Amino acid sequence: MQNQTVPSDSPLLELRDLRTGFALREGYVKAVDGASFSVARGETIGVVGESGCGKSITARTILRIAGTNDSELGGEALFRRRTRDGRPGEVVDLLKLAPNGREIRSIRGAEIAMIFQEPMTAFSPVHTIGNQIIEAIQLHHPVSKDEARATAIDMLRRVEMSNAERRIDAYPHQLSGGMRQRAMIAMALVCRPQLLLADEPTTALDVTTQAQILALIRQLKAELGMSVMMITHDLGVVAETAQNVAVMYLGKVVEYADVRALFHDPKHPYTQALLASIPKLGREAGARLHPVKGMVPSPFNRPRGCPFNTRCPKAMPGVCDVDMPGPTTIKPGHTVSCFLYGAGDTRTEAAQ
Amino acid sequence: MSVAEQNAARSSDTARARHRLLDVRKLTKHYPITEGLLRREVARVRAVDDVTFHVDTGETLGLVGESGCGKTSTGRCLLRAIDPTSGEMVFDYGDGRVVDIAKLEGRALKDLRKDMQMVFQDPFSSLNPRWTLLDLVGEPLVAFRVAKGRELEDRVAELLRRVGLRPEYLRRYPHAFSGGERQRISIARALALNPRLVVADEPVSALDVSVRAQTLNLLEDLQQELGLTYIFISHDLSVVQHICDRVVVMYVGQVVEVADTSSLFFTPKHPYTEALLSAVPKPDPDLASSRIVLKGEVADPSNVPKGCAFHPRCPYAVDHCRQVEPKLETLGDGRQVRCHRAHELSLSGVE
Ligand SMILES: Nc1ncnc2c1ncn2[C@@H]1O[C@H](COP(=O)(O)OP(=O)(O)OP(=O)(O)O)[C@@H](O)[C@H]1O
Ligand SMILES: Nc1ncnc2c1ncn2[C@@H]1O[C@H](COP(=O)(O)OP(=O)(O)OP(=O)(O)O)[C@@H](O)[C@H]1O
Ligand code: SF4
Ligand SMILES: [Mg+2]
Ligand SMILES: [Mg+2]
Repeated sequence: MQNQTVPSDSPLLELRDLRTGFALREGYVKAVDGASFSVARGETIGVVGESGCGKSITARTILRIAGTNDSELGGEALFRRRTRDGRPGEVVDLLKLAPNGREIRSIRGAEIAMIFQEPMTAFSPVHTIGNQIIEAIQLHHPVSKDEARATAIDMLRRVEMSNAERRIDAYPHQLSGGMRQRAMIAMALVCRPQLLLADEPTTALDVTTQAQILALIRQLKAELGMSVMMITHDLGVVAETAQNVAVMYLGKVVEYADVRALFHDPKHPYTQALLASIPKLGREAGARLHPVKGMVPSPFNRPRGCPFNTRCPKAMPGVCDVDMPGPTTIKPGHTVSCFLYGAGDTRTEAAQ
Repeated sequence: MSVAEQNAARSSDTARARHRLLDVRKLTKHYPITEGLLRREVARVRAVDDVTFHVDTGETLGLVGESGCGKTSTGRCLLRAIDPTSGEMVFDYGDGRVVDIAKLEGRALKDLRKDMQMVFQDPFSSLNPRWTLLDLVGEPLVAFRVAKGRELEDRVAELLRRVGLRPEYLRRYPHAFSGGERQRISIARALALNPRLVVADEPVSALDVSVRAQTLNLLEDLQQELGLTYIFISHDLSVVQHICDRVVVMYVGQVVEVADTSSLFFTPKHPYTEALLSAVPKPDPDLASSRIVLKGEVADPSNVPKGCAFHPRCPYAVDHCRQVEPKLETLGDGRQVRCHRAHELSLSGVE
């Protein structure tokens, strides 16, 4: 849209049947088990689901920092790189890159950046935030330390850190939680990435600080024209920031829709259950909450058939506990993997 | 007496008229900031500053506010986990005994634990990893010599059942449990001595949406069954609106507003309450845009702004607010608010 040379339907990132596993002594964990969705330029996509459903590992796999070896990766993660003059470049499959090779390192931090729930994981406690941001700049750009420092201060100002000239020399522990989060965002955005992977960036913060950080991400996203993958289990955050949402359950994307359809007309019983479990602010407050029945199955012991069938109020015995439903398109841009809506497009295609 | 008998006794107990269980008056907790070898005091963190509120039996009182506003410090003073700098905390046992918790010592202080318990925010660090569920949940029973041996096991098994955990788990260690289950373990532990008052400090903040819903339902059920009174500390306003009868809003150690939950949420009287409510992300894409993003950071409790502590961030502040500290005032309908302009402002709450 912003860029004429690339057709508007060409995604920045396209995940096709992404798989990431961990071979552990206790068994094999399929952390991401065939996730497919794409991220358009300038779009914010929300990724939601209960703890352990594979949200973080999806993001970490894209950056190749999931800590698995190649045999445990599957599918494709097609990313359109940026040329040196800032135009859309060639498409690479991130999964095919050497995990510590030159190419992924030139993408990581520069074209795709990540922010975490706990800023202390992004910063080393023994260096000032300034030195860490300067290092990040110099890793990708041949500039002097003074120039990098000026850029860092400028970025800290853009994340609305007051007294940026002074605070650049602070150690992470000297900053409040909200300020650390701002510093981490500054470090992530200082190389102007095309894609920001935001993993629960506000979960540890107060509502007021959360509102400030979300507004900041939105504003910087518009300024830099970047795309954002907003990973969270807070459906309020998703409603507020995302245009499209992927709902994950046990490593799979069970529903994908634009944000209005997802909240007003959810199709998958899991999405419906998730929405019913949150206390709502307003007139309906106080009504009994309806938690999703039961617990997330152990990652070593995934149910046969639809991954949700053991907790699903609408499960059909003999169907849902036997076969795995594939994604069915309800309408353009809205897909759901649930037998209530059919066995899945790919299956029908295969059968034909 | 078995747990069931005790509970029956307790329910008939609560069938009696509600009474004021706890009266907190002018509670203050200052932490000194010291410097140098002589630990000279250079400043004071006014973590809790002249806080007054009450709790009636059977109700759930919410304590809300941003990080660092003094919620946990207030809760810890109530249990005398820390000593308040000044103030009274009058606890009425309902059987003629009325004590000021601030003045309790020795045996009487220990006894308070039977009637008042705390559930902590972090279900991962608040349980000793080397203790089994029997040790963890049974510890208060052993400490107060309420039960031992076979009876102890039965009591603990009953408590586990009560919070929805399998009694077979008695000999397991907490690491084998999920966050929600661990929170149930700490709730079971808090309930072991049949307390009247449970101070729950962010009990669901670390939990996933669905587990959070289970835990909130559990707290509500237990309140019904056991006639419990809760002080519920949280910065999650949707949870507070869901579970609390009345709410105390704190800002930099002070109470800025007290009201019953629906009044507070629908017609807030303090600009800070309005800002807090507006900051909550709404799980509805059509409502998402209309927020006031509160500028600036929470005031530093060791250097509280002159006048109204909220004035640097308040969109309604006038000169008077910068000069004169407002008092906590009781309005006609019994609501309390600390704002010079409370009478003239018309603030918006949740829809
Ligand atoms: N290094 C690892 N080794 C083995 N299993 C792992 C590893 N990292 C994650 N897992 C498992 O992979 C699954 C997905 O984990 P992931 O961290 O992506 O979940 P999540 O959706 O981000 O959850 P949360 O909301 O709790 O952050 C979980 O079952 C987790 O236990
Ligand atoms: N032991 C201590 N010594 C010095 N200052 C302290 C101590 N404990 C707390 N404080 C300070 O007192 C103030 C109130 O802290 P408190 O933990 O009560 O806040 P809170 O409202 O519970 O915040 P949160 O939502 O982050 O848990 C904070 O400024 C905190 O830094
Ligand atoms: S007293 Fe003034 S500054 Fe304080 S909240 Fe009221 S209007 Fe705002
Ligand atoms: Mg995660
Ligand atoms: Mg606290």
